[in-house]
Amino acid sequence: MAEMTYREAIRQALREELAHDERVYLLGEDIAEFGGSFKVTLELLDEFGPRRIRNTPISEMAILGCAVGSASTGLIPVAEIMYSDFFGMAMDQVVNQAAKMRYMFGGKLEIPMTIRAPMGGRRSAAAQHSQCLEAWFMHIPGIKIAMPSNPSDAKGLLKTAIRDPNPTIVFENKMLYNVKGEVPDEPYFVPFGKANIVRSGNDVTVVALSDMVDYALKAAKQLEQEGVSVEIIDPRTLVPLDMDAIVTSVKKTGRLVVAHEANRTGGVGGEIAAQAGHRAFDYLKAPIERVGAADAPIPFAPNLEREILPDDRHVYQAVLRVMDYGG
Amino acid sequence: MAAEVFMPKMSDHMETGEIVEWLVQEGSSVQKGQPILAIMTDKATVELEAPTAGVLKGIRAGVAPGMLVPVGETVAFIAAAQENVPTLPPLGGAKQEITPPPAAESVPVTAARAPAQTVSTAPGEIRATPVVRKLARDLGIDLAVVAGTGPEGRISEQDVRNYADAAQKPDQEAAAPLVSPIARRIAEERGIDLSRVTGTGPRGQITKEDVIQFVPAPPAPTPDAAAAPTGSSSDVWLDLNPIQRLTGQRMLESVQTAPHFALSADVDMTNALELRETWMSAVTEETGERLSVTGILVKIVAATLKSFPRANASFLDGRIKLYSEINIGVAMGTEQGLVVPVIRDANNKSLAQITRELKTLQGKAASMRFSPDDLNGGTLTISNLGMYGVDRFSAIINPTQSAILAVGRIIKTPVGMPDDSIALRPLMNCTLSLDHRSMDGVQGARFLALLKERLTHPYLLIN
Repeated sequence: MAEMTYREAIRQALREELAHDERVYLLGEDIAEFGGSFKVTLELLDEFGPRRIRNTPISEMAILGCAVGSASTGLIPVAEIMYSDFFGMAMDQVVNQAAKMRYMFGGKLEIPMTIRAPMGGRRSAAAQHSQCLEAWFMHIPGIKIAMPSNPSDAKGLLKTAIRDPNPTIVFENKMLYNVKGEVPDEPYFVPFGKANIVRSGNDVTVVALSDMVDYALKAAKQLEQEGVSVEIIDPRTLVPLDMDAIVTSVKKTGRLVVAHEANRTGGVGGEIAAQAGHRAFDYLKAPIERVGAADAPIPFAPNLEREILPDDRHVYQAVLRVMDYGG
Repeated sequence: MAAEVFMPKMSDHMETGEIVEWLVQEGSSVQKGQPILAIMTDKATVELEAPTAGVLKGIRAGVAPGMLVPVGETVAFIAAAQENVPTLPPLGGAKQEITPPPAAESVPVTAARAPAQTVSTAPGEIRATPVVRKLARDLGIDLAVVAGTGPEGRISEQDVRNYADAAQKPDQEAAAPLVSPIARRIAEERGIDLSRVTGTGPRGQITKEDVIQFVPAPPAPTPDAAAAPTGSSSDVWLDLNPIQRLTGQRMLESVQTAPHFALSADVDMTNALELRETWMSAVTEETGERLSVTGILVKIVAATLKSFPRANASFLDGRIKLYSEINIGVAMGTEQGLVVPVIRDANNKSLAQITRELKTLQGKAASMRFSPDDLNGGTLTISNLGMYGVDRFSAIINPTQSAILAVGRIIKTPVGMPDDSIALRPLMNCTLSLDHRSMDGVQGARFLALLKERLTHPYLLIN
């Protein structure tokens, strides 16, 4: 095991896949010499050259249109959307082209493209550079979605995404790029649709996405001192979603808190809550709680942003609410 | 300066309120107007709001869920963070046996400023999570008979298990209190029923002192285990919800304090029914609801009270108070018990207005969500059981009113006519129960005669 940052783990995945298959290439805004806004692709230009590490014009529609076209004609593109907020510019390519093409051609066409999209706030980057938009894509059948919460998963999930013959989005959390973690030395893949039981517990199940996993762990430590045993599940991928793991856990604990940084209304937490409510109804001891951002644009001012975005305090309070419900 | 939190008087007749739960913990900061305490009256659950901003302090000993607290009693204080508040003597002894103040006049003046209330959930509603409901299903237990100990009366898994455990034991064992041997001997000597004695010892054990100091409480409105006839183990105990319990208490109080007598008359409803048909289309068009016999009764009773104010009265402290407003209460039975919402100023309302209000009140009765205004201030009550096929009955007066009109069904009955022929006429029995302190037999008869005359000849209303 080597310790490395989330950023380095992603770069390692890209390097391994670029080396593994010459059809793999990267494209995005300023990803070559500059290494991308978050320096994830730094140095790859030197190793693989400008044909495979390609800067693009400032046009998300062009980036993803090119990715769809090249994927359908035999290449394996890994596109970077500098901020996932910019997906708006290219939604037709994702929703109507990438997600639908295999279906429209009767299964004869594969679209083995991967989109890397840095997501999230907490950086005082204001309303247009701080969003978590995973729910948009979870609503569209035909796209797989990963949300790695640590370096090891970031590498393993990205490698799986690149090998997958279907369009896949990997939401990378900007606040995790500098976070270090153990990453296996030997080649490995993290399968899609297999949740990670981050922490075992008996009283409450907390399903946490992306960096909410770390916040949930922090809350769980505090709660443990207060006698509350928290089980934390990181689904790792939203499509496919490992509801079996979540339902098994909820049947054990009888209480569920779903935590994500995206705002609550229309969020992924609602979908998980609904499925868990349906499948584990007879086991519920309290209403399912959702932790998420307030329904408002993310403020620029750091103090206001802290008010709006959820963290360990919100998980802690939600857990206490389900514990105190009195079921 | 600390502000007192006290049991507000939310209706004319309210003497006590039951503590449901503290919504804020002692020592917590509260905003002015923040709900801090859920209390249950005989009419609804209401949330008491903080009279001012500050810290909730000095919750009085004994002010716990299930406790009945007399109107006007201070239960806690809202004070500044550093401020000390007095420690009040504990409230009451046994649960629900606090003696209410003897008369409304002794209530502190402060009680008049009842804070704004928000009617929340209806009492009697079963609150239980899915897992508890499944457990109850599996154990074959009806959750309606399980007392919830959780927030807002929520039934927990433990409550269901406790109930199941208790149900498995023989009744006597389950009910047997912990008693010290000497206490048991003294109780036997003095003929004291130990199930009525509250234990103050460890784990609620009844001590010698508890027995010696025991003063027999007045007869409880509900039969207790000792008074009930011995039955088989398959007998079922039903707990009363607060509405049922307080309705029972009020009815008992009424028959014990108001000397009842009843006057009865059969009324020929031919013309009243014709009036109903005549008005039906206009009322239906205006309100979307059918004009009911009850609606006509409200109108005619109100008009009769207008010309006979003596029946629109209360006997209070040796005097009779005549009310200027005529507010007709209409008894409504619901799954959760009896409620008597009020149509205010009924003598000044049209049939359509009365019909619309009756419909609104019936809707509220279905969910037991009333505002205090819906239920307060009635001056005479109508109880109509005609729709249940009841021919005639007498009702218990709704205190502190002076009379209640019990109405049976309308049924075609052979009647001897002035020309000695026999005709079938739709008759309806009206039985008026009266408080003899307010009205004697002659006065009651005059009121009933006036009412009968107007029901028989409703066109007399046009004047």
